Amino acid sequence: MTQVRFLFRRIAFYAVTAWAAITMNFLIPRLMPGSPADTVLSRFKGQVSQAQVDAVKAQLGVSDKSLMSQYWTYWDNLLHGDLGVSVSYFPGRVSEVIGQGVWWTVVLIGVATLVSFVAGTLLGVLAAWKRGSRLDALLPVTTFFSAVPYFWIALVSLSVFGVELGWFPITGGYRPELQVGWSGEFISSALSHSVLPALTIIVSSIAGWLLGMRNMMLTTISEDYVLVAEAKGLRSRRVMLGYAARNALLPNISGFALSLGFIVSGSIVTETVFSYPGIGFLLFNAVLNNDYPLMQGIFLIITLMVLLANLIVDLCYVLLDPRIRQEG
Amino acid sequence: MSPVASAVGAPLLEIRGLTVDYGEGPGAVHAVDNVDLVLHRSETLGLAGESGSGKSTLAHAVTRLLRPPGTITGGQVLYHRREGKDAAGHVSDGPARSGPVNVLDMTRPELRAFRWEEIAIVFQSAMNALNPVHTVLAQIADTLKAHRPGITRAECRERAAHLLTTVGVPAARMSAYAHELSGGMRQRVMIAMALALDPEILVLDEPTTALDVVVQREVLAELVRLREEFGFSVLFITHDLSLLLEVADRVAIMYAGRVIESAPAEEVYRDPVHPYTRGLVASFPPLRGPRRELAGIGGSPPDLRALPPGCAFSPRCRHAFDRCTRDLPLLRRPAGAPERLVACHLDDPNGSADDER
Repeated sequence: MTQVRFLFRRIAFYAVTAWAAITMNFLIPRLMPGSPADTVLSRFKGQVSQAQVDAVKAQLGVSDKSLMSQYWTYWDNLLHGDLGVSVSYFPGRVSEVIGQGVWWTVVLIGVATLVSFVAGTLLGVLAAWKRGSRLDALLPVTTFFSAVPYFWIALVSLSVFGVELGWFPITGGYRPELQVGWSGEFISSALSHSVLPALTIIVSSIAGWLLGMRNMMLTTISEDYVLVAEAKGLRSRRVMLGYAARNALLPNISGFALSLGFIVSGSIVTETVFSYPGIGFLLFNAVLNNDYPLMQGIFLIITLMVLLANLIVDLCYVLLDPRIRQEG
Repeated sequence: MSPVASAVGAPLLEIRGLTVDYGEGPGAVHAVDNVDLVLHRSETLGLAGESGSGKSTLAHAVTRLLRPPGTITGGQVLYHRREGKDAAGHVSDGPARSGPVNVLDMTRPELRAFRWEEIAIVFQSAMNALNPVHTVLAQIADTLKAHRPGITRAECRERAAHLLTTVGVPAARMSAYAHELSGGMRQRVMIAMALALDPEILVLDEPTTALDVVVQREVLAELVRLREEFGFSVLFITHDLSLLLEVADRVAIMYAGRVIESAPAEEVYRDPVHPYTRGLVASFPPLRGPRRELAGIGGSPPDLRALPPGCAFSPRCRHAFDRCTRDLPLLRRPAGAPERLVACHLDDPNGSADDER
């Protein structure tokens, strides 16, 4: 019963947060000077008639109506999946532009982050359990890679493995002559394009998970309940996973929730370096081209994804830590 | 110099010359130094001493739960198996292997089978001894599953319910988590868990220290009752000598990693011999009998890294004489006290102050 109430409260909390984020997303561009229509029209250097101005304004959803009625229209459009028209991909619709990019990012960065988290956490568990063994060599090595700026690792690996050795393609998400779809040729091309960006992300982020988990494990191992588990004659693996790691995992899960929020925004550097057709690349171009509707759409997607990821992790936390269910 | 068998029963656990060091090389600290102790069947042996006297280290060493930098550098821990029980503790039909086993020589699988089956431990703080993310049932069940392969879930539930009822906790609490239980309940759950495999020995490491006095009393009464019901032997470790005199058959006093006096509890209370024991007994009020002045022990516990030569207690001892700062007193049996061992030069017929050999 307490669990159900806890879940209800969490979901309500996220609903309110989502509403606030969407409202902010509506308000901020409208409080800024200028409008997207001005950006588009400025390209024509004043060589346009009033009818054309009205047409562009209507297409971009710029109106002179009151803020409140614009707000309702905004919600109405949003619920129909209409995020307006992109300026830089004019007349492409924002929802379509994002829809093409978002999966590249979610798959590439999402899988890379997940692999990094799982591998780093497992290595951290082992490094703590067998502390003093050769596994300790993982610490300086991985820390080195996370201390080096990410763009540098990305560029060096691109130059070494892409240009010099030619093992992996250096640009794009797939061979441009291929049709996007479920063909074997396309999938293998997409995979080989994703190896380098994924590896650089994993290499540069694994140290955080490894160190965090190892330190938490060391704290947990000195707890009495781990000693009791050992005294009970449980198998070493059961003590390590069921008692030490199980309890040490909780703070790392919170860290994972936070990092999910950076999946989309953190992809900007990766996708720019590798010219990967994801949402980070889109955002970068949107900023360069003053594409407000696209930026707004991307920010909205980022916000919603962060909230969704956090909600999922919250739910996992309820399953993992019985103490949470009472508080909150 | 082996301690005398008391009337309680045959030896069950014999600790011989056990030495535990923290650290290595010349800087190593002897937290437990050449300790001999015998726990007999159905006996409650009390181990008392100040913080840092090595009593908990001793308990951890006996169960091989010491963590680095603690290492056992010498001695034996001999366990006398019950007739007809094999190394894994299962009652077997085959011929019983005779002779004691050295716990310190056991391989990892042997040790795993030995733990909890023969020696179970209850720690000081039950809040920390129960895993906060597993239910009581899960923690009792994983013990049963580890030692009784093939046990069903229903059997685990049944056993858990029985154990909890035995220690006075409603069986329904088996699905509770540690944070949902009171301090006294948690300690009862720990005791129930300790009894899960019907062990021969229960090591109680300051089991009531974290509890308030009223709950302390309840838990103690429960322990005494359970001991009568199940007949296990108890190694009771505490700094509270008054408590020990009440529940223990025999008491051993530790100081600076050594046992300095051991005797039946009654004798320790009535007639302590070692000046340190005398100091301990004089530092708490008697419940019955005439009122007397309470006295503490001057000075502070010794620094194990720099023990004085001779008797470690000599700097704090009012009766110390020159021999005490020269020779280490060994445990010996004073005249007219067959059940007692004392490590003190006072009243030593072989070498008192005026008898220089």
